[in-house]
Amino acid sequence: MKPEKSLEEQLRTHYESQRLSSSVIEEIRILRKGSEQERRAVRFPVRWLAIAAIIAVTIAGSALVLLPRSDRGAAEELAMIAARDHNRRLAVEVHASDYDELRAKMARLDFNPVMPQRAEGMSLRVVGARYSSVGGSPAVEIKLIEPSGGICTLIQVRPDDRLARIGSSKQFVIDGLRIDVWKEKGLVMALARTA
Amino acid sequence: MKETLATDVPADWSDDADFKDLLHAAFRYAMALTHAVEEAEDLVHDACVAIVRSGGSWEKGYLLTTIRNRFIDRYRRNQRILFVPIEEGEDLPDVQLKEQDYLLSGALDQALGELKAEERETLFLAVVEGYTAQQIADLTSRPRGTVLSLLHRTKSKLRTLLTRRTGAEGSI
Repeated sequence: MKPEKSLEEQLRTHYESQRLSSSVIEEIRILRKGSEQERRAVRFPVRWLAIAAIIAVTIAGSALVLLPRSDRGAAEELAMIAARDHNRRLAVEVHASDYDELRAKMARLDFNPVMPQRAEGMSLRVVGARYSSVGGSPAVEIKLIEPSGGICTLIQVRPDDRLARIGSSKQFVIDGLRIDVWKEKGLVMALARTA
Repeated sequence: MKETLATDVPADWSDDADFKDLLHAAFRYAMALTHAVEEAEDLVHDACVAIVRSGGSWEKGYLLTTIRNRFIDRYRRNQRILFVPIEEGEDLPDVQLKEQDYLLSGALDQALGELKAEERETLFLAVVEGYTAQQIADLTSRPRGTVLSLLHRTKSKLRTLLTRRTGAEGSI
């Protein structure tokens, strides 16, 4: 006769089956990796910083940079968040048909959502949005519909020190999604679409 | 923040597998607090951001404490009643639960959803994480006697909730 499981065993089985999603793990891993790279940069002896600066200056137009770069890490982190939010398919908290209506209805943000210049010509129609966060900063997750009927997710956030380092626009492919990350109008944005 | 628990975990997280295990354990604790996947994910993520920004330790006890503090802050902002006062109780012997098959994960999950956050938290830390009453008391800033009383009442309450759902008979 199969031994019956105690309630304690059932509780352990119940909780131990719960695992953090791989996308969130990856976000945190990138976040931690980026901060470790920054700490290593700060610990470089001053003379090496001087040498690195001299080399960087003398090698004109070179892509060699001796100090660790973190703008790609920050952009990748935001891209992971956009992919996660897109795939979650959570309902919008606010329904709106354009950005003016979004701005009027989303009073808890510390910035105004804007129509990105990048989206001009793409004929993306605003459906609504929900409040989100990126690294603890208030963000907005806007749902858009393409002319083909496909759903896009646009994240907008006022950049903190880390996101402010994002330089040129970048593109990522994550979980079958194409995610563009760029800075515009004082905000950092990430647009997730089916690749 | 109170001094965190010293748990037997490696300080060097160069091993990615160990780091993932830590995050899974943190998520399970967040699920015990919130009983909601998205809220738990957000809590873990926010706690990790806080640790990165403060340069804090990735030691398990510190991470769980950070998650708990973020949970309390979040609910205070939303002005929800979170942790209700619990009367201190004398030390009570641990209740020996009857051997009964509650292999109805849906019923267990629903019953857990009916518990208060502090009840799930205490049950989780004791049963799943194997924390002693003193360790739970240190993490939750409660007297040890209160923890024992809460654990006793929570097990009884969960047993009752499950019995109602499963219609199980027999002595409990």
